[in-house]
Amino acid sequence: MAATITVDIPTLRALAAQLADLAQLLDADNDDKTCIGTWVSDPRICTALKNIQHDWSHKRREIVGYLSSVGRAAGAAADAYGQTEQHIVKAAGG
Amino acid sequence: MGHGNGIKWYAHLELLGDGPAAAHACLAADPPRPPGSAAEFYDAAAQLGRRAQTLRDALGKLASIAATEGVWTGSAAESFRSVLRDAHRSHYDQVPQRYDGYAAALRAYAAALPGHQASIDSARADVQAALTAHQRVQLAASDHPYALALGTDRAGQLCQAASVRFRAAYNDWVDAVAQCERAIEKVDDDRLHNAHGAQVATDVIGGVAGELSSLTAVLAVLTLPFPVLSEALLVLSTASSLVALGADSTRRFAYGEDIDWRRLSLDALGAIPMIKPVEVGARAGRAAKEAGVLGRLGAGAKTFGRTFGHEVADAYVHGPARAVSNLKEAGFRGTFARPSLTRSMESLKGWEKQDLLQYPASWASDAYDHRRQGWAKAARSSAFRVTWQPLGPVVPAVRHGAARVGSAIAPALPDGRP
Repeated sequence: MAATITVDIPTLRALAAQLADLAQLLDADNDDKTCIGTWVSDPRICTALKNIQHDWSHKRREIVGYLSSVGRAAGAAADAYGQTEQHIVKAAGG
Repeated sequence: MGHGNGIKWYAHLELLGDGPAAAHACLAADPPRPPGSAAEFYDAAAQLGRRAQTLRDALGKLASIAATEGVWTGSAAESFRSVLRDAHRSHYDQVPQRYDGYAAALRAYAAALPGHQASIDSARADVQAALTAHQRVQLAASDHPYALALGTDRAGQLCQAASVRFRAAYNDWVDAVAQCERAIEKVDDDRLHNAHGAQVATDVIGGVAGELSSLTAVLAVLTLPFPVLSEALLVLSTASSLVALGADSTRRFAYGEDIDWRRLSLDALGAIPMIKPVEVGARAGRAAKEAGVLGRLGAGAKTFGRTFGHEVADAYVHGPARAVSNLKEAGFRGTFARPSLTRSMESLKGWEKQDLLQYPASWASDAYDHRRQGWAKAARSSAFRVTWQPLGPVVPAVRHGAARVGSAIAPALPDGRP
């Protein structure tokens, strides 16, 4: 007998949303108007934070892309599993 | 504030002159007191810490999904896992550490800031008081020169003493900002930072050599009916794989880039003569078989192109075909007209193993000579300048025409033209 697989659709959907939010936040952390340097009013520390954020821009772009794509995949999986369950419920009921 | 690289930096306060002059210098310090508040730095640190924790949670959840292999099976599970990456190998797990590093630097500065602000405010008040006293002494004793001399001298000493205290407090704060900045910069010691200098060149060399290796391997397969040319291309493919192996190993072990063992193995296999063309040929053959087209090389190449997409087809099939056509037009008809095993063996007599080793060295040397163009451009164009040199010793028939071969092939290449 195969092991039971439980798909927690709300959790999967929440993960998708969390990953999309994270991707947006990481992106915003390097945006001129919202970057983490702007969180402090000391101009020198602001510049240091902006510079250091710029120094890993390539990897950050890669990670943002990764989080976005995995988030989309999780969202699609949640939708697909949700639809499957609805179909089965409908078929069993009808 | 001092200036450097277009960025305004805080400078240590210097006292120019004695007494009142020193006091004036203190009061003119820019900024007059440390900007910001401890609360805002603590808030920023807390926000960064929360960001780090959210990232850690998300990566943890993805890792647990990746680890469900055997529990969650089927094509949906496989598709989902195929987009997941190993957070450790791709260094994604260092992102939360980076944010924690920023947070720690800001928290340490926030803890010290109120003390610096209080010291500077207090020292400034003393300087202001000493300067006011000095001005009063000058006004009150203007009718009594002897008293003036005594009074202003004493008031001047007070100004000097207050200024020295102010300078000490101010420069302590400048040092604290520099320490915070260094703590922020130290975070960049991880594997996330952008490639620069030699690392950029290595990345480009790895990419170009890989492309070149595949391209010449395909060319070697396509030109099998013409052994002399095919052998030359085989040598180039092997040499390019050696370069790719060296560059990818450097990227993996020296720079910690996410180069997996599969890629290194393919580079290593490609460096063994004949392996890459055989692999490429098998791939093209498989594609041809799947499409139900067997037999002629042209048909196989056509199918290969359709399967791997128009762009790849242009790079690996139409381009080489155009190149071969250009070679014919360039006067190398003999090379194509008389395929012969005896002649092929003769052509390899002059070839020695060190030619292969010379190739990467020549590439590096040529790239270094042209580094002023920028490492990326220099590495890319050097690949094509140096690539056709090994043709000389390998194929006597084209020894004196290497430049013509290069110019005939180059226009057909899709990328990285000389």
